[in-house]
Amino acid sequence: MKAHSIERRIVIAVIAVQLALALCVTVFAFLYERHAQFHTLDIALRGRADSLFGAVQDADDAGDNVLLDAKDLHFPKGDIFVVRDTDGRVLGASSNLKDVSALPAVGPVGRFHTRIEGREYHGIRLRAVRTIDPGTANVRHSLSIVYASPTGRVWDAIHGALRFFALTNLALLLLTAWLVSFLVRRSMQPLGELAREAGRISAPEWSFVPPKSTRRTQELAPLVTSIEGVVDRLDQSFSQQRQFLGDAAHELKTAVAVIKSSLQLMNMRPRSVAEYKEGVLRCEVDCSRLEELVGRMLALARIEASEPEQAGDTVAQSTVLMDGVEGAIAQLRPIAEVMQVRVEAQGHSALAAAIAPELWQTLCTNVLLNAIQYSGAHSTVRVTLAPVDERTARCVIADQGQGIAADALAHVFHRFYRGDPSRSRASGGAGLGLAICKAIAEQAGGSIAIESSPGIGTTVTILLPLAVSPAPVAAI
Amino acid sequence: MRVLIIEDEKRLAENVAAALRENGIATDMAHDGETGKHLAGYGHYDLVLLDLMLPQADGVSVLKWIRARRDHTPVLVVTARDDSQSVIELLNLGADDYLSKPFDLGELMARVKALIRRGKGVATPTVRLRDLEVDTMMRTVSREGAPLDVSPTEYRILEYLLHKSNSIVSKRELLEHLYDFNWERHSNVIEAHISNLRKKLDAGTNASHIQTYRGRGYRLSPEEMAMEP
Repeated sequence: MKAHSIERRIVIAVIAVQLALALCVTVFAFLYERHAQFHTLDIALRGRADSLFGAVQDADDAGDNVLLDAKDLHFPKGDIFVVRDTDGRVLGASSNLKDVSALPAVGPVGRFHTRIEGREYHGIRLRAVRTIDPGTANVRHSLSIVYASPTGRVWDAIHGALRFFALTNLALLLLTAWLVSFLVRRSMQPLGELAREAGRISAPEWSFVPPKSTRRTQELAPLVTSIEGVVDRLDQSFSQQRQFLGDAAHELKTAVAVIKSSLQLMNMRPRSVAEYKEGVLRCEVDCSRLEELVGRMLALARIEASEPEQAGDTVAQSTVLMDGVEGAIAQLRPIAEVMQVRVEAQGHSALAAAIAPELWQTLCTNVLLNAIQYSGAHSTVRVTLAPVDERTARCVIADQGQGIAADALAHVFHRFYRGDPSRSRASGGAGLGLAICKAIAEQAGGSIAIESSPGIGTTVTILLPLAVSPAPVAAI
Repeated sequence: MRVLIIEDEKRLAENVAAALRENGIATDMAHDGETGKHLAGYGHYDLVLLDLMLPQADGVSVLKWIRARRDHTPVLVVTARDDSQSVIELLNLGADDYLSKPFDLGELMARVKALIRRGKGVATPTVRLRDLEVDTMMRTVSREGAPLDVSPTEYRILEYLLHKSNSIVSKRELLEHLYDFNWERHSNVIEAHISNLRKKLDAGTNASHIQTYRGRGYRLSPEEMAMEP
């Protein structure tokens, strides 16, 4: 795709507009000039015709005739005229007029156009009465004066003016083009600086210092703000990823270190078959711990990588929540019995939520396992299922255990966070259980929250969107 | 010699402790930073093996705490984090060496022994004193080329005295540095071992290798001294 240049577009737009304006101005100037020039010519013709009229004099003969004495009149070269009396007798004509019939007396009074010997003429026809010896003889001569001037000169003047306008406009146009191009380029400069600065952004630094000029530019300020936002978010997500990678590497390396050291310890000196057997068994236990760790990390990655359910999406899944809770309780019964913890579940047995059944069971197992492990002997863990409204189900898992300190509470859903590492290591955890729970709940479009009072107990609240079609009421 | 392992991964700590004990080094374990500080506070360790990611108090704070008490016990840091910046930071804070997980147990043993040696001013694994030659890697003693048959405990006493040959070592110090908390300890035991060791070292010679300073302790003297009356 061909790239558009904003600069070129602006310059072209400005020049196009100016060109249109220049054309209009030139056309109007031409019209006005023509009108003005011809008007002036009309006035001049009228004046010259009047002068001719004034030059008609008494002929001093018996017939009371008149004659034209144009000797002292100076008319522009090329002007032609004919003066006739009432009878059509030519009293006088300009010397350069070869054929007086070219300017006939007959015709309307006023301005006219004509063409004589290939030249355009603009003329005026007057009828006037010349009174000789007014008051005494009172002889009246009706005269007809036809005066014409070639239009070539007028047109020359008009064309001159037109040329002047056109040239001036062209010069202005060129000046504007240069000026606009210069100004646009100058005002585009912050954009270039911004692009250069944005080009410098790279992982893992993620530093973006917008040039001051861009922040002052109204059009660029939103762009700068959004780039900053993007960079910030990227930085954050990258450092989260880095943190996760570091933690994951730490866990994996530690698990590998255990196995490696177990094997090397066995190999340190010759041992009895019983010792080797014991060592191999220990290695196997270490291996299953590593296996579980990798499994959990992969599960978390898989859940987090899958698309979160959109609210309002038609979700095909509909899981009866009580089934998952009971499944988890059954699965954890041996541990609960060892720890001497009672687990009770109550609530709407028909409540169904839009979540995959195996994920729901994993969520329940993880939360319940935590609750059981951190409960004292002879205490009770209660699971309560209830709808909040028409769209949401709530599952509350409350224990009477030791509780979690407030500063640790904020981190329990973070990956690899362990409030009490030695303890959860002993139970095989790697601080991923609750992170997996959070990922599952959010993936299903729900949420998970935890409250705790040290010494009194911990309550985990899970909110899940209800299944679209209510599950049939199951027989209890 | 006695080593403190501060490591929250119990299985790893157990393996390292087992390996150290097999190398004749008494070992105590702490699974969190606070316990680690408490044990290190006794000051009777010849080396501290320190993990960085610890509950309660992390490794860096334990290291700072140890050094703030003007405790010069060698500290070997073992961790899964191995970026060079944290290595630099650790060494500047007073750590003596660094090993990243997963480590080689043999390398860990060698480094532990080297650090203990260095901490006592000895550079090589084979130490000579008068006519004795002690190989701290093989844990054998020979006199003028002929190997002496010493028991593991006797060897450990000899090794400790050898590393402290410029000072008098009390029975209490020997107890503290040769036994971890898992062992029954009686000062009579030390006396019996010293007596046996002395017999083996001095057999067939006119010299006495270990001097007894009444009420103060023992010394493995670098110079030949007259037999005590």
